[in-house]
Amino acid sequence: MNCSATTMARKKYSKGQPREAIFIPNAPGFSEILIHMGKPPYEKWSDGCIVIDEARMIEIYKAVTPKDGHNVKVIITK
Amino acid sequence: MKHLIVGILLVLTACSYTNAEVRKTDETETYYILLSNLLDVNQDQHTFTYASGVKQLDSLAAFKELERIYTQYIQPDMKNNTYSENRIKIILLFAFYAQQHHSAAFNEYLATDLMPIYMNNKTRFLKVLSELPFLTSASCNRLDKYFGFEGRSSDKKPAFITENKKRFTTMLNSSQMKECQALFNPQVSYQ
Repeated sequence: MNCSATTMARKKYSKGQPREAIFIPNAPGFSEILIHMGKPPYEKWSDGCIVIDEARMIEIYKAVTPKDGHNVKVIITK
Repeated sequence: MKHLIVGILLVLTACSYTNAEVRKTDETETYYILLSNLLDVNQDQHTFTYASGVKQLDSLAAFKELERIYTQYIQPDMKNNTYSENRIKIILLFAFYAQQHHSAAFNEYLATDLMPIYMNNKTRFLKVLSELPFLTSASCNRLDKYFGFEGRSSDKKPAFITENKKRFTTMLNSSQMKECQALFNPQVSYQ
């Protein structure tokens, strides 16, 4: 439950604002990864992060209050 | 008079918020923070407490501090969109940090940001690498990742190698060149 909804200061989403993301600290093998928007082919939008469709990302981001709140639980399944 | 005082207070408050938003970190503090993160020391500067009272290291706050500094130093500090050697050193140290700590966010930032900096500052960029060879692998890795990342075409990578190989060979030693060249295999496109 230590993940947070946040934004990436150096990346933008399609409307030009900071890209919404879910921050996941201390993921195995990484200091941090994020879930953020991308476009198919999704692997070309990632160098370690998890990439999902932009509309879905914004929907998730808006559902979380407060932002930067360590109030998100991420479950990754195969 | 009362309205004037309230007005001045409001202006001062607005100014203090503005200053907070644009807080700059000088180079000495930047190196201190970057090295602390590289060495995993001083982490207790960022903590948060759950509603249950449990105190925990705040990785997000540490990331946000680094991101704020990165955003400051990724801007050009010289005219015509160019960068000083000191600024390039800090940016390449971020690349080193991202590589060593497997920071997905900074790796993705630099996959986009580093190539334009190299293209506008080739001599200064390679001079920094020649002076600080430990930065070679991380820097060449990020330059290579530029091609094909976030929808960019990787078709231009062979031309980039052809056009820049002589410059790299002239300014880097043979060991560095070998290390960098291995990362720039034109047959390997970014996946």
